[in-house]
Amino acid sequence: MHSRSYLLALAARDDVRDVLLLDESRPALADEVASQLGIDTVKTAAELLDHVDAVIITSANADHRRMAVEAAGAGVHVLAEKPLATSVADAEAMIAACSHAGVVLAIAFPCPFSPAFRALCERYSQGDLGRLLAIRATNRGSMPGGFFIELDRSGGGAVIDHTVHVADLLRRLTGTDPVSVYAEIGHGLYHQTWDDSGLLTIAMGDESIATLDCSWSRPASYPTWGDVNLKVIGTKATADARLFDQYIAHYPSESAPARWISWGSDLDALMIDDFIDAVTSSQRPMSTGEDGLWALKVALAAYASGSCGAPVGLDTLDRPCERG
Amino acid sequence: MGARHAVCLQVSEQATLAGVWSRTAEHAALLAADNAAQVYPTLQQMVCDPELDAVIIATPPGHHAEPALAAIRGGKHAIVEKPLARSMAEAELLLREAKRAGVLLLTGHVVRFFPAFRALHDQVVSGTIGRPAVIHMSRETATPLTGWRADMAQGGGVILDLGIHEFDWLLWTLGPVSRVYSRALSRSGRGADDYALTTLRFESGAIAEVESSALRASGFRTYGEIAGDQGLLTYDSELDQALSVDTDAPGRAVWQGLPTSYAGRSAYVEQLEHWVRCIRGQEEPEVGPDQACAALRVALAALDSAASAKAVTL
Repeated sequence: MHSRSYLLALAARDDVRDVLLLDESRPALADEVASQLGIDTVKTAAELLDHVDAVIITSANADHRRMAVEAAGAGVHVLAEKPLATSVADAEAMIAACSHAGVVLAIAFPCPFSPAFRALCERYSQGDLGRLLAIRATNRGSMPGGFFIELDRSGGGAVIDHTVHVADLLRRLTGTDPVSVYAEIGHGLYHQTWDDSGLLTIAMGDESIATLDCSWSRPASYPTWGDVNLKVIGTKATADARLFDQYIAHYPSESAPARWISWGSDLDALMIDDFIDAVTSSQRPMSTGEDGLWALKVALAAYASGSCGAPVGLDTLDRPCERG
Repeated sequence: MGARHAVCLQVSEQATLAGVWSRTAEHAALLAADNAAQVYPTLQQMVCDPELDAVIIATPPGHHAEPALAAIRGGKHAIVEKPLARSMAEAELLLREAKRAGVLLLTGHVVRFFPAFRALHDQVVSGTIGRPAVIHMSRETATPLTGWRADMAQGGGVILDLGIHEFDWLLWTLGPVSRVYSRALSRSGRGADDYALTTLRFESGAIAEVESSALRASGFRTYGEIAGDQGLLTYDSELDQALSVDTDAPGRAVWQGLPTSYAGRSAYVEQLEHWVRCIRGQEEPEVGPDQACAALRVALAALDSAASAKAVTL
């Protein structure tokens, strides 16, 4: 989904000499996109890995493990789209392979680069918010289609798609890890086998409680893609961070829906910059494979909770519905 | 709330405030003096007054049942502020007694009479967005929980004091609730819970989150958003910009921290006149005992859930 944005960000950097595009399942589309952007394509992974220092994996979630392990085996650094993988085992295999090969494994979480989020964290660390009590979060969007709704390729619907960003932000904000998740998961927007809505309650390690709406509830007419909002209740103040609420509104003269055009920072570009810096100067990327694994566990715990009808601890994901 | 209903009775030509009784003599005296009404020294004397048609009970929730029962047994229609009672046992007793006595038992779930919430309800039930799927509602006040509200046992914290408005609206609009999960906290660490996040699952399959807060530094806000399989509706009281006045003096008109909406008539007066029409047999109650009990049941389940950190199935 973000491929185009990443390609533009890469094109803007002087130190990125070559960008190659590989799409094994849609080579014709790859050729078209590549020619629009003035870059080359390759036809196989082997060819790709021979030529590059790093890859950005934007394929279906279930393919992340295979591609990352192959890249690591060739000594190539990896930036994987979210979710990191569709299972804990796959995520751990990716982390192990990259660690063993001494290559970077980063995950595509742009939100930590948001100036509003950074300011929120600063206010908290300066004591302006007091102790954190509750966080009411949303990361809503519209139904993306494509592999996102093919369960064997995506690993789930809205919950796995839109839980991970906020799960990661909650870890960064509170400085603690999630402990348990309770989820109500819905199929009421599209009436399909894949989940399209979810309301999660996440208990964090600092005893703060977070709720998250991860639904694909923005209809096609909605003026923007969605949102990432964090309303933070602290003992001293309440802060409301709305990461993407920086826009101008456009009202077309024809009978077409209004659109919100963002003027905020390009978070994808900042994330790409951070990844390249990690690759070239051996520093830790903003979001590592471990960060991706934690976020994935919150999504998987949500699915388990949806099945059990009870909160599920992240440490009992292998046996979620047992009591006591 | 007693004072508010008294004002409504002044405004409305449909009914008059005949008299006041309070557990606290000074309160009764003050309210009666402000409204040119008599003071009843005892509850019994009030409910035995043949001139009286109905009694509005605006005591704290833990003290609803006794005066309501007295009114019912005295053959008066009982109009009880929300929540109907502090326990299901009390609520069900009132329901049975009212039925037996053949009098009305009405409950003050006034949000149904606020124009924005009525409009939102009408849009949903008329199918504008198809079948509701995922919902958010929020009610935030800047009124700290003091007096009896500071006592969980009396007031039930924000879940019972504020959240019940949303529970009633949601039951009215989306139908029965099947499961409740709630987390609540007191910001100061003492007193009643002043912030709560309640997740509801409806029998229809829809899911909702209700935020109830007494933590605002100033002002008041309500928010509602309903995503259905054919579209999205949102309402935000912060966008009620019909009239704002910029001045050095305190600006917005507020009543005890609650909003004034620039609509034709006050929702509280609308509600009162609806009650009068019910008493005259001209109309069926918007919020009868079954509806009030249903809202209370959800609120009590939420309190249970918050105390146990477990989901509660209804």
